[in-house]
Amino acid sequence: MQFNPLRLYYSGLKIVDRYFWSEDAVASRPAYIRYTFTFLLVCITTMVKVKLSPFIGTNTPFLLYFAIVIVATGFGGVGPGIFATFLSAISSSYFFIIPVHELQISKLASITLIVFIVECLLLISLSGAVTRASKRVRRSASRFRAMIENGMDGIVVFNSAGKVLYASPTTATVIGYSPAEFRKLDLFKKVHPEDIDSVVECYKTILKVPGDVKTVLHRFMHKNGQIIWIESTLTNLLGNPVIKGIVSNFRNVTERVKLEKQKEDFIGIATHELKTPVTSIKAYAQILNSRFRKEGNLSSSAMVEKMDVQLNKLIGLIGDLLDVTKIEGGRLQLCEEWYDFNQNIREVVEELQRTTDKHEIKLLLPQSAIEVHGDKERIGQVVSNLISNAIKYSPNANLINVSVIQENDHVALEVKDYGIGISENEQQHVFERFFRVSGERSNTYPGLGLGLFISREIIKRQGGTIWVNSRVGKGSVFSFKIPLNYTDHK
Amino acid sequence: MSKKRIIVADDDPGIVDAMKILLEDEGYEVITTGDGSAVHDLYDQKPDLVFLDLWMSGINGNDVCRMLKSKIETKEVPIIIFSANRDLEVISKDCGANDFLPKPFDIDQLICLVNKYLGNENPVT
Repeated sequence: MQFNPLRLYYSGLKIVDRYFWSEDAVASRPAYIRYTFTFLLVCITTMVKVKLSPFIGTNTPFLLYFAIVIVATGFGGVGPGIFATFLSAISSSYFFIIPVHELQISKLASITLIVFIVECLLLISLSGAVTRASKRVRRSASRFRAMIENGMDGIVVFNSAGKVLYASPTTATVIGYSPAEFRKLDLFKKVHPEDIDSVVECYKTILKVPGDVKTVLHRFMHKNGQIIWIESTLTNLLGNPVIKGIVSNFRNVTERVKLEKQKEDFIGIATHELKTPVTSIKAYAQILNSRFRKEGNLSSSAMVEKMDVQLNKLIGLIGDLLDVTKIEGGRLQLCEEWYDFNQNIREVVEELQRTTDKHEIKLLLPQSAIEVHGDKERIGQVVSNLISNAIKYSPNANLINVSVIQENDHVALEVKDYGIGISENEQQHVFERFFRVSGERSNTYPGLGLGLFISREIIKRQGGTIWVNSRVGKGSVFSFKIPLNYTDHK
Repeated sequence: MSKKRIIVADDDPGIVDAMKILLEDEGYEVITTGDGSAVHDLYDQKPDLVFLDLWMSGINGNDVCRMLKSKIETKEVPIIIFSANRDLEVISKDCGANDFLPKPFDIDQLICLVNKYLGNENPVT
């Protein structure tokens, strides 16, 4: 290592600071030691000055005494500092201020002496302020260090090239590697191969925007060989002069991920189990219906048909619950194909028209066929949901308009009702999960509040947008727009 | 002309029973089983179409399907996987099934599928 005088000087200062000046060091010394040390220091200095007086004369009576006051204050605090001030004043007036060897002094000299004492007192108070300030800084620094070192999060600071600038001791708690081991670690070998791309992608995006925050979930091989789930929040603090790096806070979320998986599996099994009895009930109902019809028993047949409509509602609810779990788990799968958009909408409208006697669903389609690439069934589900809502929320109207327009490489559909409408405030929330139009009559409009949430997700996944325009008491227009040829890459 | 024969394998007795009535009402002969591993032996009765449930006690419908589709003597018979499983489409394509039918289904859907594989002729006498 190269010899660096400046570094040596700083290390020296640090040692003096810790063992000599520091508040703890001062507090550990008994009073008699502090005062005796001060007394001896003044005596020795005075003796040295007396011995040297043939050379330095009497022009600088206070030479070295300032230093003594500073050292005494640093060593023993305010008391010894004042003690040193007065001892120095007496010594200098007796030994170095003319006439020497007596305490009597001239008017001018006494003014100088008073100035000396005042300056010393200022020095003492300054040193006290410095001590207090440094104590505050040390305390808050150690508080933050304690928080970082005893928390549950691992904290690592990287530079823009990915080199580790700081690793907190908690990395050992989270992933088993101590900070020193972490620095030597090849992270690419420890992150699960399937997750490397998303981690790298997250790091690259975060590098671009100062102050940006991103969270990434990935698997990681713990030092003990187990695969754990890590949730890592990256913050770009490259522009922060104190940090100058990318800060990663990461924690072990294996338990949480396991629970989420369990929840998803449970809902998968639960919906399967719910659907099984419904399947046979529905089948029996349909057998009954066809037998009643063959017998010409039309009133019984009508009742069984109503049963079937109710069963379909139940199936719809089970389906909605399943869809929400799929969306939350990022598992909503789309079956993409080319299909005739108009034909698809026509079928949905015909099917829904059968469920209502009250409302007439007027369909306006463009003359020419529109070929769309996407999930036909899912788009049908969205349209069916919008029309069902229109029926449900317009109990006092009897018309619903559905229209389709082709706009360049997009197709747009709108469903217009003349019902109760949605207030401006609520319009912002209608596509949120579990949201339901509120108000005194909300109980008369049943539902889980999932339909529009699911619809928005489906449209989003097909590269489109969905929105609403509405006026309370006048009705609502729900519209969506999707590209004609879109391939979902999820 | 003899009736076309359909095997229905599902471990839920309600579904097996309802399917039997439904398909028999349509004029087909129906052989049912609640045991997926017994399906292979039922091929002795020369079925024209097979419905397999996905989750059956002891064995999965997709494993049965894969096995049947891997043997020369059984691979020609069309197999439809029917289930309430959410990944039905993917699973049925993966195991080489000819088609799939999500539960719960409408009679029309069922008849439409059966007609697709057994011809449009109406076997009801």
